Amino acid sequence: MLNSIKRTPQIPRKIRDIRPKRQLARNRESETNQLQQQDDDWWRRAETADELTHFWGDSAVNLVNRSSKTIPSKNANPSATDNISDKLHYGIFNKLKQLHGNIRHNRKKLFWGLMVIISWRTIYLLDLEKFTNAEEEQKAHESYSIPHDVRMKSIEDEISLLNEITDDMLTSTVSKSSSIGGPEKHSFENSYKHPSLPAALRHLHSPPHETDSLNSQNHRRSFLNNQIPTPYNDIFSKAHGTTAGLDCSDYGGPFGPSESAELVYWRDFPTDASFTSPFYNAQAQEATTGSIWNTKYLTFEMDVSYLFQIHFCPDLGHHVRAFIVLMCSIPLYRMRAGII
Amino acid sequence: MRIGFENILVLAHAMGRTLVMPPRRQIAHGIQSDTSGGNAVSFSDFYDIEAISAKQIGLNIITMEQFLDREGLKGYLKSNKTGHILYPPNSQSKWDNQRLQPLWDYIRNVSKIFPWDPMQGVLVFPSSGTDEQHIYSMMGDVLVEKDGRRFPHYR
Repeated sequence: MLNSIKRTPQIPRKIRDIRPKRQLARNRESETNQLQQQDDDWWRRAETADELTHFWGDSAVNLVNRSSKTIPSKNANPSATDNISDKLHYGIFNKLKQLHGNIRHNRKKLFWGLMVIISWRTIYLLDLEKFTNAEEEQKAHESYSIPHDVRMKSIEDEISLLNEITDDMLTSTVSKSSSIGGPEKHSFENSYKHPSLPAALRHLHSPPHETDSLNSQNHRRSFLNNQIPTPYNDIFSKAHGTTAGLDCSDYGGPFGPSESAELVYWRDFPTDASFTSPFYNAQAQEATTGSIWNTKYLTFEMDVSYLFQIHFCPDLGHHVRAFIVLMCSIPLYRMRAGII
Repeated sequence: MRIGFENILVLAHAMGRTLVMPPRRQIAHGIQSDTSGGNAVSFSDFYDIEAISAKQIGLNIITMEQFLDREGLKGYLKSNKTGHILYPPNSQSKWDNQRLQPLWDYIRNVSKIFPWDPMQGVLVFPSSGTDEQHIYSMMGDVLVEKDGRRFPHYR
């Protein structure tokens, strides 16, 4: 009788009563389907006391008890551990559901909270980057703060090293008649490992009257092609033209652009020719006379200064292997500040 | 002399001014007589001045004779002190292989001469018309040793 009262006629489902299927784990899904088959009213929430009494016949029914009642236990005496685990699972699910509801309810607070956290993190990373840059800058300043004497000493050492290399190469050039193919060449090549130097040494140690002129030209080309890599070499290689328009064929050669390229040490840059100063006014500068434009001129006096010759003399003495007798200190009229 | 001429070429190019070449004159250090019997030389003996002037779009080069014919003899040059028109000495435009002191005195009177001590200043030209402010700020950075490097000196 009591059971017949519990099994009341089915309440027609309405769209508003349909609830979404609970998302459970896969291992619980089959069990859930089985429970749904056993209890058709699982979706129905009893909200009033009359409904609770009508459905369950007990005023002290709660959701947990309902689940325990609706799930018929397979055992005659259900163990206490099963009840505890069911309560625990359903309690966690309920709490998660409430948490989800709270999150939806307080999504504005959550959004602004995340924004504040992201802002703090950004500010922290910016400060960290600034601190790192400040440290690098300080290190750079430390490198610049090397005493001037020490820096000049290092520069002088580099210059002396370059002079030694140049001296050795010139020595090998002057005495190449005695050192062709000799052991000195081998040791010199081994002393410097730069890839461009072997090609240069092959050029320097080549016999003065080599029978195979084409071979010597190849040596020279290899030397020119194996220049010491600098940032400007790439620019030079990409520059337009190699002879800058130089043609000496009417004056006894060299003939052809390839031979002229061995004599010309500059390159033609079309951008240089097309460059105009921001102060350049073509209408004014190209006007001849009677124009409204005032042409601007630059005059200069032909100077007979000897500074260039002064610094040329030590070079000349160095090349001819002569003793250089330094002159007395004299004031240079173009350098009023000091005496060299 | 060579490097001085190269600097003058660069200066004229950077300032956008027409370069006036000096007259032929004698130079020191034993330049031997040429085929015409004189020992006066000009930069055009060593450089293809016309080719340089024709190839460089932003550089015009004329001779002193052309300059005096175009400006001096027509009364376009005025004294810096009095403002009166000054003509070349003896109304002469050809000064090749002559004493040039009167010509240079005349040029100094009709032109602006900017005193420049290389120990006290540097000469900088902007590569474009919008770089002037950048040059000023760069000079300020050098003076205050912004990047940590000391101010350069020649002693």
